[in-house]
Amino acid sequence: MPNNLISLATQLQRKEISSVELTTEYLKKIKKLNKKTNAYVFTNEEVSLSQAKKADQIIAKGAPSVLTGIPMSLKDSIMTIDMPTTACSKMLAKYIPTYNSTVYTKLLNNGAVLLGKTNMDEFSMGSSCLNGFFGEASNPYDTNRVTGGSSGGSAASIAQDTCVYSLGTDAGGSIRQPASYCGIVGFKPTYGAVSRNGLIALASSFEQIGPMAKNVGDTKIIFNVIKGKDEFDQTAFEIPRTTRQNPIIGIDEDHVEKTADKDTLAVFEKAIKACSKLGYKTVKIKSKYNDIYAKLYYILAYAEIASNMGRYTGIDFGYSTKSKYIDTNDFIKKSRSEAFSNEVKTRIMFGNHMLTGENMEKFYYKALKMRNDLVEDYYLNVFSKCDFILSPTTPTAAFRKDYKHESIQESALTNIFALPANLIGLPSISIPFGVSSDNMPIGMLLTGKRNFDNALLSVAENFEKHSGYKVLN
Amino acid sequence: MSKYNLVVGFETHVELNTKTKIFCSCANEFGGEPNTHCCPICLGEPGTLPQLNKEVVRYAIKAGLSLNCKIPQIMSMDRKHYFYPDLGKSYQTTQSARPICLEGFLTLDSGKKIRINHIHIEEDASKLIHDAQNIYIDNNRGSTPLIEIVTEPDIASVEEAREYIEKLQAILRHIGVSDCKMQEGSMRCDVNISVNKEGEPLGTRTEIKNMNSISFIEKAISYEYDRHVDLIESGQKNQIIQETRRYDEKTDSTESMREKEDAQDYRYFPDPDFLVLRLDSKFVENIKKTLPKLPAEIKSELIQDGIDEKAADLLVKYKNVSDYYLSAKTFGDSKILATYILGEIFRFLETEEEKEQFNIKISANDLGALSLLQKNNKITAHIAYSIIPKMLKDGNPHTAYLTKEDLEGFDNTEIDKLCQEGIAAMPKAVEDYKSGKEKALKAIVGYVMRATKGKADPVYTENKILELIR
Ligand SMILES: [Zn+2]
Repeated sequence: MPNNLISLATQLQRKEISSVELTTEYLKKIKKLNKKTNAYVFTNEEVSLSQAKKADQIIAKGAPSVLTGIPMSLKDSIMTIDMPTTACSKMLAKYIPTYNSTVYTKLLNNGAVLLGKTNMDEFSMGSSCLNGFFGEASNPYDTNRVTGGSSGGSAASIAQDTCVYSLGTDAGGSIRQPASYCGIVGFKPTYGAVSRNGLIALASSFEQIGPMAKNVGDTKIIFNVIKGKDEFDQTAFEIPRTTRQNPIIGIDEDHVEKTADKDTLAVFEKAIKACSKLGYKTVKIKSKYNDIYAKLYYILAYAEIASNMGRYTGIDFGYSTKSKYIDTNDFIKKSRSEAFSNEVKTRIMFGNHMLTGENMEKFYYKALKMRNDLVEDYYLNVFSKCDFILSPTTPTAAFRKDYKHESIQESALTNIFALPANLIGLPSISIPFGVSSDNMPIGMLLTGKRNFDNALLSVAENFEKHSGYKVLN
Repeated sequence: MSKYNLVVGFETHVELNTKTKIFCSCANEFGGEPNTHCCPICLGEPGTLPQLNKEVVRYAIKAGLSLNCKIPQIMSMDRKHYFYPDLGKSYQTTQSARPICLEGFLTLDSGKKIRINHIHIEEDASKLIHDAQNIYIDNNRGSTPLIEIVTEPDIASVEEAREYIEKLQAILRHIGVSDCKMQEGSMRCDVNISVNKEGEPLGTRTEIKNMNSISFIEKAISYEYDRHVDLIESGQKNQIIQETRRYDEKTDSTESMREKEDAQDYRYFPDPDFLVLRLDSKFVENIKKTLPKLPAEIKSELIQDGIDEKAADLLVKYKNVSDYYLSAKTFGDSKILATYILGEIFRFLETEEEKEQFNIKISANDLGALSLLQKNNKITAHIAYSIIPKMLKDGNPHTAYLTKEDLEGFDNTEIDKLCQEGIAAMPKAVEDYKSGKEKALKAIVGYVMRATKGKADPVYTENKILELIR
C-alpha cells in the first residue's frame, strides 16, 4: 500500500524526502480533495509546517522515532492547543483549548506533524458524520454515501490519503464502523489502555481513543506510542504485553446471518476461510445477550452523556445566548437550546430521563447490573471457548446519505457487532477485508479479551495478509 | 420541662486543609485574588478528568477513625447533578453509595454517644458574589476538598448541640485535618430539627442550611423547637413541612427558603471517571498509627492530674494550646501551668484566632521552669503572674525578670525576725490559733508576706511561726 507509515518513515530517515516536503504535499492534497469529502474541519499550514521543520531537525540530529515527521490528523474532539477543538458543535465553535490532550502530547514528543482536525458527528453523537456543525462528511469512494461515524472525518482523511494516520474515538463503534465503511483499519483498545485526558467526553465508561491507519502494522506502532498510564486519567493503566500462539477464533454464525446482508456475509465467509488458511481453529460461540446490547448502550451511555454535557452552560466557556434572559437558569436554557442540535438534545433528555425518579432503579441500575452480567457471561461462556471473536464490523457497507433509518433500533444495528467491546471494555479492530457488489469497502471485526491488545494486533496482522481488499481509486 | 422532645441531627461540612484541591494540583488556600487558584480540571473544562488527591482520602480516614467509624474495604465516587453557576461541571463529585467512613460516634461529657451515620468526601462549589445586577464567580474555592459528617438524630438539647460541635471541632483540629473556622466557612452545618412526644414517632423535620456560628445554631434550634411546638399545640401540625429553612440572625427567626431544591432530583449515579477505590487494611492501619492523642483522652488525663473539667476543656480546645501545654508540663507543674495559660497568657491572646494560633514568645521549656520555681516556693504566684506579660511582650526568658533576690527569696534570719514581729503584733491571732482556729495562723503569715512584698516562702514562714509559738 502506498504511503504507509513504515515506508514513509524509512524514506524520511534515509533523507530521501524531508518532512517539510511531505507535509507540503499533503497540505496541497487536502486543499484539492477536502471539497469532495469535507474530512477536515480545521487546518493550519503554519502550524503543520513548523512542526515538520522541527521534525526535520530531529531527523538531522539522528534521533527520530518512527512517527517523526509523519503527517497525521486528529478527530476534532481531541484537545490540541495548536488548532481549534470544537467537537464539531456550535457550542464549542469558538472554543480555544487551554491544554493538550495526553495523546497529542505523546505524538508531539515523537515528532508527529498535525495536518488538521477531522470532521465528526456533533460531540461524537452519531454513526454517519452527517451531524456536525461544519457540514456533512462524504465517503471518498462514493460521495453519496456516508463515511460512518462518529470518527468519519478521520476515516475519510486516511482513505483518500490526505494523511498517513489519524486518531479517532470509539464509545459504541465510532472508530471501527467508519473504518469499515472507508476501507481502512480502525482499532479500539482495551478500556483504559489509552488516556482519555483531553478527549471531549461522550460516554466516559465506554469510550477509548484509538489509532486509525492504512494497515494493522501502522496501527500497532501508533498504539504503542499513545498507550499507557497517565497521571491525568486515573482509569488509564499499562496493559501487559501479550501473545497468543495457535489462537482459537469464536464465531456466532447465527447472530451474523440474522443481521448481515448478502455482500457482507460473502466477505465474512472469506474471513472464516482465512482462519483455516492461517491454521486457526474456529469454534461456535453464543451469547444470550445479543438482543440487548443496544438497549444497555442506550440506557447507560446516554445517562453518562447527559451528565457529561451538563458543563456546557455558556457561563465559563462555549456558546452564550445573545438573546435576552431573565435569570441564570434562563440563560443556561437559552444557550443550550440555541447551540445543541436535536440529536444532542434527544440524547441528553433520554439520558436524564433514565436517571430521574423511579427510572433510576427501573432502568439505570437494572442496566448497570445487566452490564456486569454481560461481562460475566462473556468470560464464562465465550472466552472460555475462544481467544478472539470474528464477525463483520457492520451488517452492511456504507449506507447512502439520504437513507432514513426507520427507527432508533434500526440505526443501532450498524454497531451491533461493535457494541459488546464498548460494554465490556474489550480491544477490537476492524480490518478491510472485501467489497460489496457495488464496490464499497467491507471490514471484518476481531475482538479479544481485555488487555490482549498486542495479541489481537498480531492476529489481525496475519488476517490482513488474506484480505481480499484492494485499495480503490 | 416541655412535654415535647427535641430531636436534632447534624450534617457538617468541613473543609480539609490539604495542600492541593481534591482533583487537581491547584493550591487549596483560603482567599487569594479571585480565580487565581484554578486550572482546566477544577474549572471543569471539556476533556478534563479528575485525579483523586490521596491526601484527601487519608484526611477523611483520619477523621473517621477519630470518630470511631468503620472504614469499609471499598469506596466509590458519585455525581450529584444540578445547574448553578457555582458548579462548572453542573455536577458535584461526591459519595453516595459507598462513602469512605461508616457508623461512628462522638461521646459527650455525659457519656451519651452521638452516632455518626457516615462521613463522605466531596468537592466544594465555587464562591458566588452577588451585586445588584450580576453574579461573579470566584473559582478558587471550586473543587476544594470537603468531608461531610452526618449524624443520626441523637441530639436532644441545645446544650448537646453546642457540645457536639465544639467537641467535633476540637477533634478535627487535633488531628490536623481542618481549622474548623465557622466564620470563614471552613466548617458549615446543616441542622435538621423535629419534635415529638415521648414514645411517639419522630415528627416532620425541617432543615436549616449553612449555619456558620455556634450561637446562631443554638438560637435557630430554639426558634425551630418553639415554632414546631406552637404549631402542634395550636392544631396546625400539618403546617410543619419537610423543607429547607434559613436562619436570619437579624430577626432571630427562620424562614422557608422556598427554593425548588426540595423537589430537586439530583440524579446521583456512579462517576465513571473513577475506579472503585480499595482501602486496604494496611493503609488504614498506617493512618491509625499517625493519629495523635485525641482531646477526650488528653482531657481525662488532665482531670487525673487534678485540673478541673472546665479548665481541661479550654486546654484541649485548640491543638496548639494543648500541644504547648503538654510540652510545658514535661518541664514543670501541670496545675500551675494551667493557671498561667488560662490566666495571663489567654488574657494576652485576646481573640479566639490568636488563642488558636498560640503563637507566643515564651518557650514551653521556660514556662515550665517558671512553674517549678513557684511550685518550690522560690517565687510566689504573684511574681510569676507579674512577669509573664513581660515575657510575652519581649520574648526574654523568665530569668531576665527575676533578680537574685527574687530567686533566693529573703534571707531566712530576716524572715525569722519578721515572724517574731508578727507574733508580737498579733497576740489575738496567736490566741485564736492555740484555741483551735488553725486559720488564724494565716494572718501572721500574711503579715510576713506583706512585709517582704510577697518574696517570702509561705511554707517556710508558716513552719517558722509554728515553731515560735509552740
Ligand atoms: Zn485546579
